[in-house]
Amino acid sequence: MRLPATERLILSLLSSDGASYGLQLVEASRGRLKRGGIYVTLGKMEEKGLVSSSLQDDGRRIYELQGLGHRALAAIEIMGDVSGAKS
Amino acid sequence: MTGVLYTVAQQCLSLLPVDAAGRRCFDETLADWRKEAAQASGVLALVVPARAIWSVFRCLMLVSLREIRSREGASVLLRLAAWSIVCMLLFIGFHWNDSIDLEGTRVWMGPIPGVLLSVQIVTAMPFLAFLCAAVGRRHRAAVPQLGPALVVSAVMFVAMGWALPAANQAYREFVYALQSSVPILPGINERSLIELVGMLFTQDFQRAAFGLSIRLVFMVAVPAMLIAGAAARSLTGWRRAAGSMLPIPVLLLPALIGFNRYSEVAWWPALLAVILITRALASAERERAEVTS
Repeated sequence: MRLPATERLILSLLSSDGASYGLQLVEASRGRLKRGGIYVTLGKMEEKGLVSSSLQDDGRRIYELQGLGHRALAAIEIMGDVSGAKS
Repeated sequence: MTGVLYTVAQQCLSLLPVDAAGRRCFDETLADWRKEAAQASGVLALVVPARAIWSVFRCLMLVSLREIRSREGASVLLRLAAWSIVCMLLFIGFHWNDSIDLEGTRVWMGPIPGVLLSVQIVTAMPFLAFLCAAVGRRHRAAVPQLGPALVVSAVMFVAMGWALPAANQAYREFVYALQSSVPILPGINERSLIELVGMLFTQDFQRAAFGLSIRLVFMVAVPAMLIAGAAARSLTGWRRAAGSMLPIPVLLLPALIGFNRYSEVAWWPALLAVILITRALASAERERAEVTS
């Protein structure tokens, strides 16, 4: 599975900050992730099984890393960004 | 305090034909808007709606792009492009030898009928869009609607706004030049969309409104028929047969009338009838599924 840069970034942010809302990820990324668009990426990542989400009372979803996401992140850290980030 | 803009955006998004994954993206973007609006005060209260509208727009574009890049979405658009080419070839085949009678002499028109291709294609497009979405190898597979509908809307916007009037004018100039050396001025069907909008504020309001109505009906008809076709594909049994067949004769009547003031009257109710028929069939299908489950 090949991970795009935005997905790698989301994985590392979720790993360092813990479970987060989409908007928190946008703020933590310092402009690299965009509002609105992040939910399309998070949806794809959830389909792949990298993250999971739970719906909160205010209609927002909180996202956290899944086992596959942890393993993908570990593989990226071992192989480095120049490897093409395959997991 | 989310305000009127939020309500308008929410209502507009609720009308869009999008799958569950796309709907979730919209809901989350709107939930962010609510959250930020509730916390904002002072100048930030003015910034939040502007930023949120941009977020909604970006979300809409990315959800559409995801649909276009999906297997089903891409195949609908490819089928539509392929059938459009087939229609063009047929048209060229039928008209390659056209000639007109000029004071008792037959004058061969050469490639000039080719410039009217856009007129023929535009008339065929609502039917092609419907059939390409309704018929496919993977029957009853969920067909993405929003992305393909946006693509065909953009194509029709350019076609009806600029390509069609330019083609009409080229044809008129060719025919007119055979008989007169005075250049012929563009009529209402030869005006671009921007020119027509400008004419709305002049004494030519009625003619401009007529021209705009014809252009607008095709810009709306093609994405609407694509969505109707996709909806028909999700039906089963007799509803599928009715949903796949009924819209064609309903829309055929204004197509046969052609581009004139009568078609202006006929296209809109015919299009509305197609939408209502498809909605009624889809609603009946949902009720049946609920009863069954």
